[in-house]
Amino acid sequence: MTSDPQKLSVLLVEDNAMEADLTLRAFTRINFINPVEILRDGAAVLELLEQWKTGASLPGLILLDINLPKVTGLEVLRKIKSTTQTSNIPIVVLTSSTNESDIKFAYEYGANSYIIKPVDYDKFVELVSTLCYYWTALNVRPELSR
Amino acid sequence: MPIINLSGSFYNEHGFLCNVNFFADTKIENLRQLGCCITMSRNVLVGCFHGSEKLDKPMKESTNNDHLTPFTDLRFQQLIETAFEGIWTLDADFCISYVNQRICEILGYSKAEMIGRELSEFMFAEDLADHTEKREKQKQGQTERFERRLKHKNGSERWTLTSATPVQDHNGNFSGVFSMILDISEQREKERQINASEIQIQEILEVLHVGVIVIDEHGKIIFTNPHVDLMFKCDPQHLIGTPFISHVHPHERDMSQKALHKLINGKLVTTSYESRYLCADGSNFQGFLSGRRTLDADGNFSSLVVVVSDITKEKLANREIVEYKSFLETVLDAIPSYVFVRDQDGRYRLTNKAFSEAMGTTPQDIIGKTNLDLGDPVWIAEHAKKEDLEVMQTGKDWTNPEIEIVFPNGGSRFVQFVKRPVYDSQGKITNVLGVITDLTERRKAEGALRESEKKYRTLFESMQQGVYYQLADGLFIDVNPAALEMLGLTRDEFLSRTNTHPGWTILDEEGNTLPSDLHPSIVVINTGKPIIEKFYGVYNFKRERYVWMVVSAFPQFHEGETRPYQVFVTMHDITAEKLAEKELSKREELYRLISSVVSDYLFSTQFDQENNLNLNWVAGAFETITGYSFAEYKEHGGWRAAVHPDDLEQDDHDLQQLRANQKVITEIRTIKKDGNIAWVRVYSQPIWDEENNRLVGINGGVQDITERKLAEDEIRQSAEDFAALYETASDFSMQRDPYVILRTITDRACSLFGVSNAFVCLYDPEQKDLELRISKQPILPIGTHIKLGEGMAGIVAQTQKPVIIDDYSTWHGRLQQSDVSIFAASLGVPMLYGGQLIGVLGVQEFHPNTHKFNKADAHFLSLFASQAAGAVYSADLFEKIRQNALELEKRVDERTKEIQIKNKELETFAYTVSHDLKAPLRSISGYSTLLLEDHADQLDETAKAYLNNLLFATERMDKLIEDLLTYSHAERREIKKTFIDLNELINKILAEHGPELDQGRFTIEKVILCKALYSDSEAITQALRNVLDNAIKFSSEQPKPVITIRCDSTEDHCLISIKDNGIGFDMKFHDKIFEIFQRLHLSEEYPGTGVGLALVRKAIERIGGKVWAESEIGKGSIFYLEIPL
Repeated sequence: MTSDPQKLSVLLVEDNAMEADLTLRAFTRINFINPVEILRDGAAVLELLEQWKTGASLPGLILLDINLPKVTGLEVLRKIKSTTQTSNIPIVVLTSSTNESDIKFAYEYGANSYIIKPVDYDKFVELVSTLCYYWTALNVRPELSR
Repeated sequence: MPIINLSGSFYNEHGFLCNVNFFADTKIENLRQLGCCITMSRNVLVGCFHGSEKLDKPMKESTNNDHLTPFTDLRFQQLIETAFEGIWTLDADFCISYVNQRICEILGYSKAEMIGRELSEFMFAEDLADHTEKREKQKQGQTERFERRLKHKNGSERWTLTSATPVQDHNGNFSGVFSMILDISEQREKERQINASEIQIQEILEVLHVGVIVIDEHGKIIFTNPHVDLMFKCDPQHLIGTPFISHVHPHERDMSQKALHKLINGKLVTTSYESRYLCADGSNFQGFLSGRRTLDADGNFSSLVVVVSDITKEKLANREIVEYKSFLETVLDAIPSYVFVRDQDGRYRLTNKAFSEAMGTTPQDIIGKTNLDLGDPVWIAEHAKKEDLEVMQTGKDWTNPEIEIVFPNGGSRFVQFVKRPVYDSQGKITNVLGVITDLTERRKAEGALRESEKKYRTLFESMQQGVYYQLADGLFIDVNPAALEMLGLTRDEFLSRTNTHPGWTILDEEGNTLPSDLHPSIVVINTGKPIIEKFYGVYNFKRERYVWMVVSAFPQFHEGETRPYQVFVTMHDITAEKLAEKELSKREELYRLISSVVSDYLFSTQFDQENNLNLNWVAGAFETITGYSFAEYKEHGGWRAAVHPDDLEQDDHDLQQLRANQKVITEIRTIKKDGNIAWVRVYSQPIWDEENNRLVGINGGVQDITERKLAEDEIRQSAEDFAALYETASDFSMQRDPYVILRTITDRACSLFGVSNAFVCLYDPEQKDLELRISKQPILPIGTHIKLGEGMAGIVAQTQKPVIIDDYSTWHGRLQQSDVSIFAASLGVPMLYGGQLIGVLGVQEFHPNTHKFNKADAHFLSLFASQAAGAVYSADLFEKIRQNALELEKRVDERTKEIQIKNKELETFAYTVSHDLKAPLRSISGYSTLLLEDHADQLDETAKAYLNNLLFATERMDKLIEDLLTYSHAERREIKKTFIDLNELINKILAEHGPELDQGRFTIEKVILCKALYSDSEAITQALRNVLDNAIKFSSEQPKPVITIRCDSTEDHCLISIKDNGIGFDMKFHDKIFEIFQRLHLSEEYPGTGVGLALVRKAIERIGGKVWAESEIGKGSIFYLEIPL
């Protein structure tokens, strides 16, 4: 059982504004009440990473796209997962790329899941719902159990 | 034997001893009555008196003479002791009271040992009963003589003749016995032996297989043995008492009677003769009689013993032998082989007609003669005898499978000669059988056949013209080497070909490739008409070019048939023909020369005192051959001086043979007066001194064969040249590396000419100069450029003609920079190919001696150079082609790399497309959904319908992009082969359709015969999934959909077929359905993007398979996937 799942924030990294908007709306549809922060490129995530390193509060879940401007999602993933302080943040790659090498590298760098976004919006909502419950409510995050 | 001399008898008061005839019988009786005990042993009488006074007187009276001398005790004693008879006296108890010395000798005891012992102790137990009986009789006073066994001291038995006389005392009471004993043991033994031998004789007579008959002096039979009864077939003993002569055959009685008479009368002692005898049953037999008269002890005729044996069978056997012999002779005479039998002395015992005729005589005349008698030379006769003896000693056959024999009357024959030992009845080898089979005729016939076959084969194998035979069904059955050479094939390659073989390219005169049915042999087979001397080109794989040839093809027919059973094809390589023509004319010229020179001389030589050969005379073309006159020749030193120094050894050898009395034919070089060498053939015949066994001189003939020798040399040389050229050509044909070819050229040139250097300069058409490319012993640095017209090579290149230089080192035109200081005979020839200068080939011999090149050398080197030029030219071309190929390969590599890069780009592009095209789709879909769901109250039905259409479109678009990606992925992805379990894979794919199929509406039939497959799993899965999807999709409307899946394996394929009973399609769209984005139905009816079947085809084609379908509208479809195993 989680201590206080409601407080866990979700970081959504998505360059496409409409997609980001649709994702947010999906959260709304599933009555997801946790705070959701949106970053539009990889570089911004890396800036945030520096703050996390110095003690800023960590997000409960990162939803990460691959095709990002400036710094790719894979690079962001690698950096977060190879940083001691942030390596335990669950990261779900949420993308439309079916590129085999993307999938391979994502798991290699430590992604917790790799999800291909369905075109059908209802299906997408269902997927987001499952994901969030899994990572923010039903699952006990390792550092919280300590 | 008398005891004492008859002239004296003795007596004393105890008794007397005298000859039996001394007393008259009455007197003896008288004496007995007077109480004298008288015993007789042989012719001695012994008397015992019991009272001398009583008998003294009557004795005296009765004797009435003084012959009977009274003997003293001593003398009596002596007499008794020395008597031959043993004498003993027994007392009344039958104990021994006296024995004489003789008894002791007979029984082996001393007197002391015997005296006082009972007689019975000297007897055997079994005789005691008899002894007791005799004792009783003696006690009663009976005198007895009997034979008695006594026991010797050593236990052996002694037989005695005993006379025992009881002795009475004065009162007439029994007081003992007086016995005289004679040892008859030996006599008994002899009697026993006689008895035994009589039994033996009896037994022998019983079992004897000859009749034994004894006849008395009257000619009557008195004895027959059992065999006589058998012979005469009568009852036992039936002949006894009958006259012998009555059993002789009447015709022969006279003769028999006379013979027997002579025996009986003693005119003959023995006789033997044959005659016939009558048997009891009336039959008769042929008997052999031998008779002997026997005499009695007085030498008078006693009886006639005849022995008769039945020789009827023997007679018959003899007759058979005679008949068989005559039969054998007839057979022997009838067979063509020569047959004889010779004995140890080499005398002929038997021959047949063929042999005797060949020996020039008759069989009768030959018998008993030896080879020597028949006029053979001593050494032959001795040799034959030696061989005969060897056969007799070893007992083994002697065979000479083929030998030439000269018969006195048959000439020389080739024969097979076999000698075989002949055994006599004792198993000893006494004769030799010889069989000589004439092989002359057979040999001739065989020889002729072999010769003709050989000639044909030789011709076929060696002819320059290519020949092959092909059966009407197209099968090649024989080919000669020339044809194989022209076609550039091995025999096996050729014989396994057909005219439709892809490598069998034949061009017509204009250079067009002929289809196989217009190949000359096929045309002839089809038309039955010959093709005469037509021009064709055939591609030769070895030479890698077309060989042009004149071809004739002749159909061959079985009698009475109109279609040929085979075709006979001849091929004429034009170049080969020209060479052959040249060779022919050359030979003809030589033969003309040879035939124009026919001359010889005869000579006679003799050894002189110093054992030197002296030429006595010559006749014929002596001067022409030697160049000397007869006198000059002798003065010069004769034959030995004229013989070429190198051939003196041969001459010595020849002379040795002549000294061994052997003819010599030799070919030898002689030096003529002008110093020229003449080859001569010498026929030498030894003149032999038989008496002293030595060579005394030589007769002979000498023939000048110089021209022939030269011609032979030349022919041999040219044959060798051609062989060398041929070898070179074949060497070259193996090579493509220019350096190896150049090295082969120079190596071969050196070995062909036996020179130390050969070089090649190649011509550079651009620079118009020569470059020295290779030299075995370079006199210029390799790579030196030589201008045309300079040096030998330059001149050769400029004139394109051979140049011969006797000594390059002193030649005026030598290149200054060349490094040659000693004599260097040089020859250079142009290397021309198709009239084009390729280079210059040169040979050089560095030798202070003499080697010089001549025109023939130049000609030969030119031939060689043209071969070499061809090889260099092709190597050059090949090198260029190789360069081109390398270039091409490089370009292909580059292109491949480019394509790989492009492919990579395309892949990236496809993913980008999928990603970037899908993002807007998601937005469209997302907002449409949001509108429909969140703002439904603000929308009317039409707006809702539009939004639904929008959603439907995005869905289709999504599917389309997905399929497109799969398709493009299928096109480019790497093939990975693994083992695939088809059954499992099909089940897996069907499971994906779980709900549809599980409702039980679909019937799925599976026949999986090809279970495992080694192929690309993804491709197969994609193909199968799409085809199965289609089958399910297009049959789902059927009331009872049936899908049949079969996997069969053929020889090298797995054939998967998926059959449905769905809506089917029109076969005119067959090709269309496999194209991308092609659909036969509206997507509202059957959803789909039009990529599925295109993907199936792409996937299967990527793994080397094939896809096709069979269908009929309304009946269903079958899709086939053929996948290589």
